Order: sequence, then structure tokens, then C-alpha cells
Amino acid sequence: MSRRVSALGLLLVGAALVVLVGVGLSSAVVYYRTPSELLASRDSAPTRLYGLVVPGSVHVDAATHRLSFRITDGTTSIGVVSTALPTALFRDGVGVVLAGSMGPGDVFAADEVLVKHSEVYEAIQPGQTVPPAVVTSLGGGTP
Amino acid sequence: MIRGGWIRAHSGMMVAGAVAVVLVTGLMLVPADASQGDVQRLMYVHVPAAWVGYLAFLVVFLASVGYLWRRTARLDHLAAACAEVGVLFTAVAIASGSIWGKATWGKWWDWDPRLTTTAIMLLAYAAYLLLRQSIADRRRRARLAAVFGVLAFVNVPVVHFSVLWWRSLHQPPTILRPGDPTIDHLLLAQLIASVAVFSLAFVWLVRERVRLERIREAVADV
Repeated sequence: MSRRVSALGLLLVGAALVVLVGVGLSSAVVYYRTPSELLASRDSAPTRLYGLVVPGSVHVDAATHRLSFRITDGTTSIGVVSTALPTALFRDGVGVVLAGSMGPGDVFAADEVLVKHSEVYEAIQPGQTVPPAVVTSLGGGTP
Repeated sequence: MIRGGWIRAHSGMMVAGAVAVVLVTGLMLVPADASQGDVQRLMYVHVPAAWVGYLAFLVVFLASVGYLWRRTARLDHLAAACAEVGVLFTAVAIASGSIWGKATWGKWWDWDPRLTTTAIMLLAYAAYLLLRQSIADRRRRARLAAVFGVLAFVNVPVVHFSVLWWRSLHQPPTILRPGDPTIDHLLLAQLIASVAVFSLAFVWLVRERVRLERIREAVADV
């Protein structure tokens, strides 16, 4: 009998832990912020920022070795400059997670550009090729 | 005529053969993903390995509850075997995911909710195995391990739902999601085949490990 009680007690403790972790952490864990949230907070401390790359906004300045683009969350967009080279999946419209901080003129200075890929998978067709990388180098040769 | 004994004697070879077949079809024969290219083929190792991790830890949980209820040594052996195999496959999932992440995200590792909770899961079950190692008395070991095996499972659903509950770098589920899977039929068929074969390998490894443990205890009793 006491074994059953202890087993049931364990189950209850476990279930309570799941609820605590789920409910408690869901408001505490913020892996990244959105452009709307960041602009509203006026925060210039280092943070992570997520948004979709605005089509046509990607530009590489070969002289300064900088990549610039805009990201949007659908309502707000922010200009980004980066000294980091993203992977070949970096394209117009793709989701990116940036690490960096808000600089002067409301331009986000990123020292890391991570490309978030979707959960959608499509078979490549015969003769089709993977889209080429938009940015293959930050220009100006190797430093 | 093939008898049951022959199948048992060669089961390891057959499971290894099946694993080889799904690896060849997945890594070489099915079409690549149109957006990511060949690196997406890591999915056929990463997803089934992560799945077997979940499955193994679920059995640890069930066997641990069962042990606390019934106190049968066989359930303790089952839990221990599943924890070992689960740790192995979770490590494979993390390693393959890390390579996939470097190629697509641009980073081997980042402390996003999915990766962090997975690391905690791996460490929790590594601690479970260490706990078992540290207790000599069989019944005491089985009892404490069972309590640990129940509590450690708390984190497993959190790992799975982390990508739905919280903002993360890791994408949400493709198959175990509300609505239809977001993957081409051919790629889905390959993924299901990989999951099935990895699950088969899991069953085989656990059976062998439980058998080994029974023999080990029988020898120790002599």
C-alpha cells in the first residue's frame, strides 16, 4: 500500500513539475525579441532579435566589409548592419536570429546572423538546383 | 525452412542490415530538400535518433513506475537498459543536429530552448546511469533509480514542446504537429522508414542489454 502511495505521490510531483516548468518558464524564457518589442523598449543592451529579411534590402559594402539589410516582424522593420557572414540559406524573406545591440539611428548592429530554417521540406526536382547564396562574401578579399 | 532460433541468432545482423539500407536510401537515393540541399539528409539520422531518445526515456519512466509498484528485478533491468540506449541515441541526435545547425543556422550550438532542454535531458539520464553505478546494493539501487527515472521524465515532454511553447532557433515539428506533416510524401516515407528501423534497433539493443544484465546477475550470484 505504501508503495502505491509513494508511486502515486511521485507521479503527482512529476505532473506538478511539468506544469510549473511549462507555465512558469513560458513567460520567463525569451530567446529573442521582435523589432516592435525592441523599438518600444528603447533598449540598447546586447540582445537577440528575430525577423524576416525584407526582400530587396540585402546589400554588401565591399569597402567596409559590412552586410546590411532590413528585417520585419510584419508591422515594424529595423535596419541591420552586420560584420558576420550568414550561411547560404540567408535569402530574401528568410527568418534570421541576430545577436547584437541597437546602435545609433535605430540601426541594429549584429555580430551574429543565424538563419532559422522552416519545418517545411520539399523534394528537389530533376534539373532543379538549390537557390544560390545571396551573399557569398563580405567583399574586399580576406582580411 | 527458417526457424525462430535462426532468426534470433541472426537478429543483430538483420537489424544492422536494415539500418544500413535506410542510411543508404536516406543519405544517397531520395531527393534532397529543394531549399537546404543535401545537408537536409541529416534529418534521416537526427529525427529518428531523437525519437528513440524520447521512446527510451518513456520506457524508463514506465518501467520505473512499474518497479515501484511491483518490485520485479526485470523492470529495473529494462529501465537501466533503456536509459543507456536513450543516452546513446540522444547523443547522436545532438551531434547530428549540431552539424545540421552549423550548415543551416551558422552555429554548432546556441542556448535556445530546444537545445538547452535537450542538453538537460542528456545530463539527467547520464546522472541516472551514474546513480546506478554508485550503489552496490541491488534493491536499494533499483528503488532509488526508479524514483530518479520517474522524476527525470518530467523534462522529456518539455523538450518536445519547447519549440511550440517558446521562441527558439530550432524550427517547430514537421510531423508531430497539429495538422498535416509539412514534408513531401517521398521524403516523409523515407523519414518514417528511418524512424521504424531506428526503433527496431532500439528494441534489439534493449533486449540484448536486459539479457546481458540477467546473465551478469546470475553469474554474480554463483
